[in-house]
Amino acid sequence: MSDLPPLSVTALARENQKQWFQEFRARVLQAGEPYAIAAAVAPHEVFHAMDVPVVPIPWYSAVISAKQLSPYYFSLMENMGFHDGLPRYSTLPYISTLDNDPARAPYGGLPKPALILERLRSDYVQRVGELWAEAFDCPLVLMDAPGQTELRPGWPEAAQHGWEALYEPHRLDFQVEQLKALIHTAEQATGKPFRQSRLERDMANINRLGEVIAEARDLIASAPLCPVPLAEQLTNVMACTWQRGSQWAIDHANAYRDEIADRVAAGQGICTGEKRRLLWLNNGLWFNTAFYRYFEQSHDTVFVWSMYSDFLSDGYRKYYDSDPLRALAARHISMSEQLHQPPWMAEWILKQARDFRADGAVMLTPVNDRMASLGTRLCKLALEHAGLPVLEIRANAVDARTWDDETNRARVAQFIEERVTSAR
Amino acid sequence: MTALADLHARYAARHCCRAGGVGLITPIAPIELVLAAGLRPVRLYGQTDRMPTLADRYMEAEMDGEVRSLFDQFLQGRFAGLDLALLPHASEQHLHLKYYLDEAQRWEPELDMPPVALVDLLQTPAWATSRYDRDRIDNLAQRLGTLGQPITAQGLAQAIAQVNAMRLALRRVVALRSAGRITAADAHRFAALFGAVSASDYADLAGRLADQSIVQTAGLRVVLSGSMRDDTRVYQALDDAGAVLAVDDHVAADRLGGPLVEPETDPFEAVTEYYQLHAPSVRQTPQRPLDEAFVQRCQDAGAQVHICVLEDVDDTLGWDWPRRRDLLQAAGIPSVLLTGRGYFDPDDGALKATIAQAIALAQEAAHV
Repeated sequence: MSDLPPLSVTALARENQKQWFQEFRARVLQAGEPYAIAAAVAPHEVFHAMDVPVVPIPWYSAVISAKQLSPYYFSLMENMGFHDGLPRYSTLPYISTLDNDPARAPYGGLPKPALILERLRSDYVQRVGELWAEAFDCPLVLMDAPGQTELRPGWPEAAQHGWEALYEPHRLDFQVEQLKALIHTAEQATGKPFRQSRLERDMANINRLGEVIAEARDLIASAPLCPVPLAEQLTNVMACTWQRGSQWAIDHANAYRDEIADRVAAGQGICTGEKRRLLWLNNGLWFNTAFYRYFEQSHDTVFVWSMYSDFLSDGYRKYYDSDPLRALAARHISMSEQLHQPPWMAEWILKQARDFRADGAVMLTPVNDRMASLGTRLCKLALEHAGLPVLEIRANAVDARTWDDETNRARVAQFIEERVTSAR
Repeated sequence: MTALADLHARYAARHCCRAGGVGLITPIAPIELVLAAGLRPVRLYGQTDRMPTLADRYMEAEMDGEVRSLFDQFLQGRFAGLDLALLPHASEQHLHLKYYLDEAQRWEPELDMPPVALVDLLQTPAWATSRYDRDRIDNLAQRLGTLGQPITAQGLAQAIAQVNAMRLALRRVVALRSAGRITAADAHRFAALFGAVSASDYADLAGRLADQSIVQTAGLRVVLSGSMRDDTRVYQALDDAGAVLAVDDHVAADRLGGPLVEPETDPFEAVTEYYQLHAPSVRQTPQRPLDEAFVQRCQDAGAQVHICVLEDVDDTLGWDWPRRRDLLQAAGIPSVLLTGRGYFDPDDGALKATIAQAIALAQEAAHV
């Protein structure tokens, strides 16, 4: 482990998040402006084009978890009659609304939104969305999720320029119609107009943002020593993801890339004795991101990548000739398949393993979030078939009650000693 | 074993071995199109009495037991003789089954599996969804027409009439069960044969059940809800406890009986509308009207207690439970919840204890 300080941009990203939420509360609570709550895999761009603030559900869920509040809310959930096997990751914010205790909830809790937007990527989503919308007495917009007729190999190569054929035209046609309906509903719910020019600007900005994140990704991947801890990658890239389309996001990504480039040029790494690189697969361990750094000193091993490191580059960029709405449709229509479905999940991760020169992977298989557990077995099979050892850890990404830090630390240590070392 | 039990067992055992036919996962596949193409529908069931062996190599244990079992049977080659297997997007789990089957074939090209097609009929109540579904219906009709005979409007209208006859037969049997004239187990077996035998045989079977039914002593009137069931264990336990199953509310039970498909003008539109808005599935939305209709059915049936049984991997129906419990409570019907019931090798002791608890609650409510 080196004594490198955190990147200066990381503090700026955190500060930006706090500032964003303060501004959000000022606009919403004090000025009475409308805002939207939206799923991560939903087109926030529609609201950006209307100058309507958006709170992403997993962002608030991660904040609750990071503040160690998840055990309280989960106990509350069970007391209300929701059984303990129900999904956790995306439902924490709903439970915080039911709790209705601004003193306890992060940032004082979420006020009533103009609408909630969900995408039907699992069968419970519409139920939680409906209950939540009832609790707030606000509209719920559901975007349906058409199935892909075939998951053809090669999505990382086709997703940016060849997306029309990749995602199948009949699905895109439908998604465009759903977007039009969403725009109509959102205009009615917020009283604000959708601006096509703003969408076009944001779409171009997001493509540019993705290019910068790709440059940062390439720097990290090819550097002799990993220059930035995984937790800082998540903080910086996710801050850009939530504010995609803005000039701030591009400026921040540029600063992030430049700071990484400086470290690489100076030969600086977070672990000076780095011998092994690991991938972190699946959801982030939001209540314990320190875990990613446990093995630098003891095992000269760094966590170098997770899906949050560069999905903004690989999954979000959609280049187009004439129709930004269709490109926006393409952005979200198969995100779940890309991140959680064989073979797309495994295909992308294998590419990352090669690019980042990974020696192994630790896979968080979520408990009580089966949507995020899908594809893990086939992905593990594919990675190990390609020679990359994988350790599977079963826990919930936001429920600290399911995490045994000592045991999992020992398991990863044993994995590194017995399987990662021998794999080299 | 009753005659119906024997028929069901014989059907479930033989279908995999027969050549040809179009396999249907879940009873809410568009069976009308299969019939209109002159093809033979073949119901594919999960098997609760066979733990998956091959499936676990690829599929997580968090998947629904039915999906794991079906996946395993595909990998075992049990469905190899089918001309085609249709996988409706009746739940996200069924969509994933399609993806896993495709991937398993990439890993093991020698697997003996039939062609598999996703039937992507979505259920959000929106005009855009109805147009998407119509496109998918047309796409499926074209494919089935190539496999069998071209599907005409007239042919589809005739097929609709046949499936409507099945729905009416099912309603008749549900009424017999709700009146305590046939057992819950037999009614479940009958529902499981929906789409598995011809409409005329199905109606005949309903008639025979009516003829053979007996007037039973009135037992406690129970509502059963929760996860879909591929065996009779829960029903048998209710029968053994002397209960009358007034309402059976899972996606492959009473709600299969209605509404009918109404081909007022274009039969393709009628089929589209049914599968978008009325086909019972966990993807139907919004939930509140469904819950309210459920409570109304319970009241209409004179229900005395509600038992909800959820599979151990449930991540969906548990969200409905508190509201349903509260709505029923307001109607004077107490509820009991059993979670964590395994699809394979379930704990019948816990089930019996839950039924006993429900009986005690109902008796207590009656005294109040």
